[in-house]
Amino acid sequence: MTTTDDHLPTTTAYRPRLRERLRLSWWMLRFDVAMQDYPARESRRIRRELRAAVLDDAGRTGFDEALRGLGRPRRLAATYYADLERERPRWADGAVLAGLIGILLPGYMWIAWQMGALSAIDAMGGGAVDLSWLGVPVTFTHTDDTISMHTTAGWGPVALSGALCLVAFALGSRVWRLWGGAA
Amino acid sequence: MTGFRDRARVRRWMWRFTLAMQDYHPSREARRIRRDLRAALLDDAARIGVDDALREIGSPWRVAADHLDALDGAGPRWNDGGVVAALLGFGLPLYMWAAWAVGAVDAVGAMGGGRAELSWLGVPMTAENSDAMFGIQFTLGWQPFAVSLALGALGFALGARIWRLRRRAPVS
Repeated sequence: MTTTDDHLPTTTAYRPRLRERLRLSWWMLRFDVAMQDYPARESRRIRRELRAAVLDDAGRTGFDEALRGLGRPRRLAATYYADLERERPRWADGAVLAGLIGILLPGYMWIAWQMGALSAIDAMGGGAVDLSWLGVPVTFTHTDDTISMHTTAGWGPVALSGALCLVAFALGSRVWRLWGGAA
Repeated sequence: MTGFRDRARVRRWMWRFTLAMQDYHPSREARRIRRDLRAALLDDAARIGVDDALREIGSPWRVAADHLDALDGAGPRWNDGGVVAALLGFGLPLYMWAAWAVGAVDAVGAMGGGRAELSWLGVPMTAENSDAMFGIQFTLGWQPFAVSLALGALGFALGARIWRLRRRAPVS
C-alpha cells in the first residue's frame, strides 16, 4: 500500500502531471471559497479526503473522469452545508467587500478627484493650488516642468475608509449569523 | 399567516431562492419549481406557522443546490450579469466623472474662480466656479457612451458567466 502526500491510504499511487495538478488546485480553490463558512477543521479534513479520493479514482479511471465525478465545487459544498445545524458568517466574502468598498472605492474617487483638479489647474494657466480633500490639505502644482501633488496623512480619509470597511465587512460576512438561530 | 411581517419573510425567502436558482435552466422549469415551492411554503405556514415552515425548508441556497444537482450543467446567470454590467458600465464611470468634476470645480475655485475649458474622455466640458454659477457644463458626446457600453458588455459577459451557454448540456 502506498500513501499520497496527505498520508491517506490509497490503492493506486497516481502521480498527476503539472496540468492535472493545476486543475485539481483550481477545483480545490473553488471548493475552499464555497466552504468558507464551514467549520475550519472539519473543512480541512473533507478537503484532504476529497483530494485523496480524486487521486485514487484517477489511478483507476483517469484524471478527467475522476474530477468530473466530483461535480461542481459549489454543489458539493452545499451538500456538506446541509448537515450543519445553522448558517455561519462568510468572513472571506466580508473581507473582499470591505476591500472593494472601503479601500478601492475611496481610492478610485481620490484619483479621479486629483485628475479633475490637475486638468482644471492646467486649463487655468498652471500654478500651485491648495485644496482640501475630506479635511486633509492637498497642494497641487502644475507647471511646464512639474506636475505634483503633496498631501499629509489625516484622520478624515482614514476614518471614512475604516467606517466603510466595517460596514462592508459586516454586510458581506453576514455577521448577524453569529447570533442567528437555526438556519 | 396573515401578518405583513410573515408575508414579507416568505417573500424574502422566495427572493433569495430565485437568486440562488439563476443557473437553473430551462427557466420555465425554474418558474414551476418556484411556484410549487411557494405554494408548499404558504401551505405549511398556515398549518404550523411561518417560523417552523421556514426552519423546516432550510436555507434557500441549499434547496436551490439540491435542484441544481439534478442538472447536467449550469446555465448563465443573467441577473448577476445585469448587476455587474450596471455597476461596471454605469456606476463606475459616473462615480469617476462625479469625483473628477468635483476636483475640477474645487481647483477652479481655489485659483480665484472663473471658468476652465476641459475635456473628459474626449468630450468638452466647462468647469465654472464663480458668483454666477457653480458646476460643470457639457454637451453629450459619444465617447463616454462607448466606454460605458464596452465596460457594460464586458461586465455582463463576466457576471453572467456567458461561456456556460456553449458548454451546457441539453436537458432531456
